[in-house]
Amino acid sequence: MHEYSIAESVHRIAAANTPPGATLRRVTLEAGPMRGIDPQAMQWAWQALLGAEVELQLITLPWRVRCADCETVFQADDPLETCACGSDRTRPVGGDELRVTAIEVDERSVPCASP
Amino acid sequence: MRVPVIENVLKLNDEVAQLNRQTLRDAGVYTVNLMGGPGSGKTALLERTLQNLAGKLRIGVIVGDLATARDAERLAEYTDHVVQINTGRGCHLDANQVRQALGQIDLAALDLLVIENVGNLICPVGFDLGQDIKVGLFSVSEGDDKAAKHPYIVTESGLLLLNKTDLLPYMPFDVKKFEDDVRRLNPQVDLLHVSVIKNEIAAWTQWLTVQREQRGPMSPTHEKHSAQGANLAGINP
Repeated sequence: MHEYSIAESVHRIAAANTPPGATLRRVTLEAGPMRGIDPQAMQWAWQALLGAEVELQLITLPWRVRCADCETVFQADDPLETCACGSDRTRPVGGDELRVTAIEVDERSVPCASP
Repeated sequence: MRVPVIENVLKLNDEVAQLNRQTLRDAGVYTVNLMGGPGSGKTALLERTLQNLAGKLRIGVIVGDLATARDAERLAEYTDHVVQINTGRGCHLDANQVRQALGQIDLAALDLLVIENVGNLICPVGFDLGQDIKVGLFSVSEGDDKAAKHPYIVTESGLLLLNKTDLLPYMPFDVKKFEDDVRRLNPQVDLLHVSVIKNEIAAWTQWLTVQREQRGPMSPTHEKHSAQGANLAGINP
């Protein structure tokens, strides 16, 4: 359940970027496949933390694999997928991304006392 | 209103980890973050390591588990410097827990610190603790597909150990397949075979000794472990 501590960190970042008076509605999180984040467990942790008021948009990035023979970089389901050129000298590149890329907020709905 | 943000989720953890790294480097302590699945032999490896390096390297251990102080009790047989962290529901150690534990350890009395992470091949890998190196422990009884199925621990580790090699004659474990998967994921990583139960861990203790020597001179005083005076500290959330 590393999803729970990741959810806590994501919320901390989102809250820190929410303008004063605005209400956080949606957070976009990008996660590389190395991170082993289970989407269902992530949503579960997010709801346990924040309820249903704030939506988490989780974008799980595909594996990117580089072939050492033909130097192609391609998207794959498996980190050790064989290259279309037939080579099995492939290895994953990147994949450890874990970042908040955007938040959506409702700007203040209550009229402000001072102009 | 959409607000673009590009922020690394584990930035706070990474900042605390950097503080830990500075504290440990200032104290001249070489630090290993030992990761592996439950039952792969992490604590058993450390028991043997502490025994075999007694009088050569002064070793402290921070050990993380969801519950119980059983690992710390086992290790306190061999060193005065053990801190147990109970993570409760947490499946990994984070830098802040280690920061607290460091406050309970006399770093000046150590050459080497091993942080035994919670038994798990997935969650601990992404959390920097401030270690010098991450070491991944696999074992023959887990099966030869575990490196391919857990690529992050393979790509992030500076050393991989394969334990329980004494079981190779009895298990359908293809060493070549395992090693090929490791090499494809991480061509640079060192891979050593050990059998903790047979006390065949010389390659590992030698590796540790070399890493520590590269860090700089060690203090000449190697006090003896006092079995009765073990400082068995603990941290609970």
